[in-house]
Amino acid sequence: MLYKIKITPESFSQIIKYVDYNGKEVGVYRTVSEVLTGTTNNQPIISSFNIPILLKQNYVDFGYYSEFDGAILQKETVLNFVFSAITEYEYLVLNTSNNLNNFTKDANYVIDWGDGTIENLTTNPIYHTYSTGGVEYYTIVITQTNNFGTNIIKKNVIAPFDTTKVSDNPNGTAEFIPSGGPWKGTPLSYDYIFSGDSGSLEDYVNTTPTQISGYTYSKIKDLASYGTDTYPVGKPIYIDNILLGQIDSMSTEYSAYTIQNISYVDYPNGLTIFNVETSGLTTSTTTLSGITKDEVLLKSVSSPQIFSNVFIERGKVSGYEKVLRLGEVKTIEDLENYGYGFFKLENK
Amino acid sequence: MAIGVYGTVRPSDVSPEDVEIIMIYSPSRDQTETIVQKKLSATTLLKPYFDDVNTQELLGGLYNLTLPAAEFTSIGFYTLYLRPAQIRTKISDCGILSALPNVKGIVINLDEVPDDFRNKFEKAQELVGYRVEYLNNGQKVPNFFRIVTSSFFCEPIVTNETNTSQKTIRYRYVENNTNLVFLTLSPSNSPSNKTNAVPFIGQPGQSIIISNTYFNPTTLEVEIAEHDISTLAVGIFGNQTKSVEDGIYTIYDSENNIYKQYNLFEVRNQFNELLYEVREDRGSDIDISKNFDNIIE
Repeated sequence: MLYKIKITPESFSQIIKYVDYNGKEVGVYRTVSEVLTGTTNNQPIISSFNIPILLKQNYVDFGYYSEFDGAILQKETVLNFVFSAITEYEYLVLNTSNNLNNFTKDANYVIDWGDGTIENLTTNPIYHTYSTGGVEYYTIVITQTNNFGTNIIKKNVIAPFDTTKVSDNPNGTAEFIPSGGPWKGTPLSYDYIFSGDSGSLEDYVNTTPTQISGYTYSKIKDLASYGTDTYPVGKPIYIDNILLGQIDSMSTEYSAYTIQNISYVDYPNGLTIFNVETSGLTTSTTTLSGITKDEVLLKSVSSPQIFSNVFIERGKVSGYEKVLRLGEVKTIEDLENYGYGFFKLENK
Repeated sequence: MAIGVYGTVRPSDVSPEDVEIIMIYSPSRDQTETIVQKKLSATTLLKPYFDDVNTQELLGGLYNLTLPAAEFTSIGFYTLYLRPAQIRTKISDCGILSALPNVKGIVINLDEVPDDFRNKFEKAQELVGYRVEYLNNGQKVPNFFRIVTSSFFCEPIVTNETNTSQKTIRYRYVENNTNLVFLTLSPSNSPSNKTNAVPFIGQPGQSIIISNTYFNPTTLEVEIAEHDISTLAVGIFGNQTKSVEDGIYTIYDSENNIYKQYNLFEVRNQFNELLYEVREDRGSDIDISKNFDNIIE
């Protein structure tokens, strides 16, 4: 695009100067050159002139984003654990590593609770009580030693247990230290990709919860009890041992109740208003997973050709996988077990 | 089959610091030898418009270009070339990630980056979408560029290769600020039909130009001229007076401002024969007693 702009006498208001003649103001034209270079009272007649322009951007998002199919998914099947708390200071760790794989079934597990306690992971789940007192941050580290090397996964916890601050990275950080080969003894991070993006999730968290409110249908009948007192005020209502909610107050003007942390108010005219607080996208509600961008058709990458009606996309090969010919995989169960989540089956 | 239609052009909201303005002046269309080329400061000259209601919000796309009169002093043609700011630096190394050896990239040392642009490198992923162009012996390789697909701080890892005594440096990402940034580029993977054809992404020590892709380069031609249609109309249709006593001929615009003044006189020979009738531009020597109101009252 080429802008063509012509600067001529009509572009300048200062093209006319006014001089005094016997007390009368007389307008006299300047030339354009004089406007640009001349001075009045030792000041330039004009210092600049303005041209509005439009800048545009063409965006081409080549490639597409997909969940990385290599090490990140591999991590889930090789070594991982989840944690929770029994009491404020008593933690529970459940080893969720896949012990059926050839390379992990004979592995040894050691857990470092982060407070100086290191023990073999002989029971599953395993319990540990942190010292009571103030708020302390610990890093639980599970080390898995197998024939190929050492896997390490670390997750941060807080004591006393606080569900709102479980971890800034629920997936933890994972490392693999090979026991042989060119990378022997070198810690290789599984969390190498887009770690900056993961960390920036905090940016999206609304630290001051905001109110969400609106109209809905009455849900008070969900809290109805048997007997004469159908809606007892203040009595917790459980369904299958899970707290559903309670009636907060009843009057002739309104009925207020809470169901699963959402406040409702029923009015006699049939109007029901709900009210709930939200903090937006938070780390406690979001599971982070790395994504990678696959290049498409830019001189160097061509898309796979499909010759059958079943398309099998194979993940990245790792040293852990036992080698099977595809012909040895005869059932879907074989396929799932062999691929442990690597295969995506699509009807084409 | 439905067709998803979408546009790929958007109003740019580029920051003026990411813009370079180059001015080229030529006094005429046929002038090729005395062309003046000069770089102007975009941060001073380019100002975005802000939304009138949401005053903190850029209007988007629309910018005001304030051209300093001191740089535009002559009649002629000024071409303004607005392009993405160029970051000139060097490739410190080309390497692979230790955790994923098939991920290739270039390593930039922050100490080699000009101060004005170092902040671009100091935040992860800030350079994604930037274009990398390469120089060979000071000449830019034409029609060749790569696009940055990720940028993270990194640190080298020295590893023993099996069966050799060689040391190979590979890189791994680190969270803490270092002076090294690992840029992955696209394309950098081999095509599946020729796996040994690795796309070129640069060489250690090679000079490169990194530039943003926040807006499309554009040019403006600013022509500065003495006359336009309105002044010509004044010359033809405006009020005119001729002072018989001193021969001053004056042309006025529609507001009776004095547009031009001329001296009218005759040239005669020694025999008093009329040779020429002359109209001579008085230039800036304006006799303001010939203002229109003074004459007709």
